Amino acid sequence: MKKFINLLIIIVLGFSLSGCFGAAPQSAEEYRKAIGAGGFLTKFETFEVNRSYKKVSKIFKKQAKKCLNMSVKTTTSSRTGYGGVMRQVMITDYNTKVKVGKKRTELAVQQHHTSAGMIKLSKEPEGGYFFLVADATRIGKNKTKIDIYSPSIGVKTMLKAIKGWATGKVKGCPDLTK
Amino acid sequence: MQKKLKRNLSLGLFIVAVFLISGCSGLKTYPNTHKKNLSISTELKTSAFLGLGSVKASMHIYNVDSKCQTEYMGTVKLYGKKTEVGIPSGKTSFLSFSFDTSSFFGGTSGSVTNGTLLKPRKGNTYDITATYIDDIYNVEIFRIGKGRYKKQEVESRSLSECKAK
Repeated sequence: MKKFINLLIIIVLGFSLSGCFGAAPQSAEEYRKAIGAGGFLTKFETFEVNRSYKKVSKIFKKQAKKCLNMSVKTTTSSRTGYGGVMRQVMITDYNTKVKVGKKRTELAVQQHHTSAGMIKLSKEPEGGYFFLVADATRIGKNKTKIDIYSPSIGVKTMLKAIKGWATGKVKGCPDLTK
Repeated sequence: MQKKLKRNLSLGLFIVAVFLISGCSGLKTYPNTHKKNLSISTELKTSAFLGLGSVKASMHIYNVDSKCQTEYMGTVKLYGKKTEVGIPSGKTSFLSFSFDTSSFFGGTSGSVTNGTLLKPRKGNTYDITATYIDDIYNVEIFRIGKGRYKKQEVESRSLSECKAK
């Protein structure tokens, strides 16, 4: 079930962001534009936190390294027929890059999936398809604006963690199998 | 006759249990013979629908040699609130914490790991908290010393940060 949902997200994102079988966003900037245009099953959130830009930028860098650069194995078991059990395994490599600028820090999460029989409908950028982009922008001494571009489903835990890192309420890592 | 059948069934169950516990997974129980210098607190809470799922935590211990090569020493299951473990002082170990989740309805299971290098100082003990609450996991390590620097957080260091000598 989980695998099916993940596959569905990839397919729908491919369709909605690029227009049937066109090119998927090849950079964080292209991803921002595609999500900003309000495609199907996409989400844009913006909010401000009362923390210094330096602090937010530092925590993004630290947590991305610790939590968002790893391989995740998801196993789904299902029954078929009488006594039949199937097991499907999907490996997802998360590649997250954090670019720190004077006024803006960009956290870009890319996903590369490996599973038997998977067909990719659009060109995959180096490092995997763009999954989420979060920008922290300095707007005051102790005020930072957070913009998050993401799909609208299958990203709940990651969003909870990134928002929590920005506000300082979450110290841990999101379980990327969720 | 029924008594014999019951005894055979019990024996069968025992053998299957032994196989399941000790056999196929490739994991072995950490001998835990060193002086206890790690005190691990664990808090696990599943986010599964109606709580119909489970989350289990384990700590896998590896010795790390001067070339940064690892040797698996065993696994400690993190049950309950506190677990006392001893690892060699003055030597580098790699501690890998795994959180294994499974949901009752979806038949889905997942596993996430968080590892760190640790070289315990002689005479120091370490407080570790390993939590998995509502799909967010965290491992924090504090060195408990004496005097001014009584409790200090130890930064997590990945295996790739190990420097071969």
